[in-house]
Amino acid sequence: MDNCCGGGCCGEEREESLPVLIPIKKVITESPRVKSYLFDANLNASPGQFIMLWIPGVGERPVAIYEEEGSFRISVANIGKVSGELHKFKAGDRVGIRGPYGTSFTLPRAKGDLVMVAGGYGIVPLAYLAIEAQKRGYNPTILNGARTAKEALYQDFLKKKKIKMLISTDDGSQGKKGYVHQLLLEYLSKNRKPKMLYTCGPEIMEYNVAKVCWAKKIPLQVSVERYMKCGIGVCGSCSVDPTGWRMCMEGPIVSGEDLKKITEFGKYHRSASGMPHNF
Amino acid sequence: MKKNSLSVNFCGVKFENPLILASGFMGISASSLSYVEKSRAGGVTTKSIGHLERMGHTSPTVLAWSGNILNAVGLSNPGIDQSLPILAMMQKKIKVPLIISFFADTDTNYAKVAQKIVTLKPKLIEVNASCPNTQDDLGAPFAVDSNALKILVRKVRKVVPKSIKMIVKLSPNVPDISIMGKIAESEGADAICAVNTVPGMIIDIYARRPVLTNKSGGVSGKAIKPVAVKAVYDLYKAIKIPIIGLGGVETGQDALEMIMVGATLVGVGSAIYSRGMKVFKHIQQEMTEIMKDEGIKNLESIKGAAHG
Repeated sequence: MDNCCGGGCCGEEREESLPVLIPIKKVITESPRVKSYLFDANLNASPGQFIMLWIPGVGERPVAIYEEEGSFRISVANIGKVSGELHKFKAGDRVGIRGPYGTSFTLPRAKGDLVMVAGGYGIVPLAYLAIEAQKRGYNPTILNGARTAKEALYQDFLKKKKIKMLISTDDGSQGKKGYVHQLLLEYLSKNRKPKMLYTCGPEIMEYNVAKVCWAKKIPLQVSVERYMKCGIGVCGSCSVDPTGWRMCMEGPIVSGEDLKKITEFGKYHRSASGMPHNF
Repeated sequence: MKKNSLSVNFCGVKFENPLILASGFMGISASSLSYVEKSRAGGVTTKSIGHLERMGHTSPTVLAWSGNILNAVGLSNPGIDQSLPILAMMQKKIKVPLIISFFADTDTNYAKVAQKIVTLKPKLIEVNASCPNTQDDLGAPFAVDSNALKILVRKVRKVVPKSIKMIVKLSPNVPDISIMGKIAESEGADAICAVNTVPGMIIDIYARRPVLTNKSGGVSGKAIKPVAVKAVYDLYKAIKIPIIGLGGVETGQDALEMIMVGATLVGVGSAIYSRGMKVFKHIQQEMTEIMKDEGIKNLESIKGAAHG
């Protein structure tokens, strides 16, 4: 692993990982299922890192973040107990945050074209990465895959930031009809050779994107999501086969080469009990 | 200085170094244990396996504060039937000694789980009789009730042949842990593991409630080291069977302290958080340095030295 989270795995001593309650500054409805929450605080997170979001008395879950000077935001789909409760929250309500945790996306040495392939709310860390990359003189393009036009997130937001974006939707309601890895194939067919490709989204989508990159020898970095309990590298819930790497410490961002060593990627993951389940 | 000065014999099993991964940390799969093994642990313990599949408590279940840990993971595990192939894979993949830890809700179910584990012919098993975080559904830990512990160890011993060494993991939350150690010894335990976590709670004053969804959890890490050292000291005086000492061991000095009060093996868990995965390697280096300075040739020569 060449990435480093800077927390513990390389010998740096760590002390605290308690949640800190902070008020929500603003709530934005992004789509029928997804809301964004803005906070007036900085976590000094790098793109790809995650936080643990705590709703007192309800539960906690890992969430990706988008950060800029003086503020950060999260985008959460209403799919579970914690997110369901969060969707009832308004500006001024407080949630607990601990982190940031895990490895982050890294930029290649040589400036040039970068591609970010997002699926659903996988757009969040990739939007953060694209904006940071653009600031540093790279040329990022986001391929944003969603089920429907309504669910292709961050469109206006990224337009304002002048980030190039292509869209695919499963139902064809916007952009190319089909899956985002098909959009990627179309994009690459125009003789494009990005310096690095980044992907975040549902694992089967990521797997399809990784296969394209491996076949075409495009270097990539992937966000690998696993069931997490502690987020701090002790419980083992997010350890992957056969390397044992903890996706909260040695991940979630994994290079394409390291990803080849994670044989469970695209095949199975572990539940809260630790039992493997196929995708 | 011979290179093997850290090696120890525990219940007839050779450990290249006395540092073992404590139960509950990382031990979810053969891969995760292998990762710890590569970090130079002398031995590894699985997460405790129970009678049935358990998802564990709702997050947050693990918190760190001042380098210590408060956890209420709640014994999540796939249940013994689904775990057997996972355990078999661990036996195949892990080269250092492997301790299979287990628990149940009743003594009868402990015996049932033990019977199934025995089919794998492990060298070492650990009867986790002391989880403090599952009181709501599993009841009080067996290790805080002398009578319950006696019947439990007796029932499990009946189904575990003598060739398999049985370690009983005790709770520090008793007036006198040496009594519990003596009971386990007299009912056929081959070794004692001490101590499990100490009950604790953290309140978020702004939320005005406990941070753990389970409200209370078990404290581990340096905060409990003196508690663990005293427990091992008391046990060593009372029993003849070997002891795994654990609780707050983070440094070579801590490990030697544990051995000087009577531990043969030393468990490491929370220090994976505070010092990272290289903690096993670091502790060994620190132990070797101190031993060199103090003219200590092997660990057997200082075991129990603090008893005078």
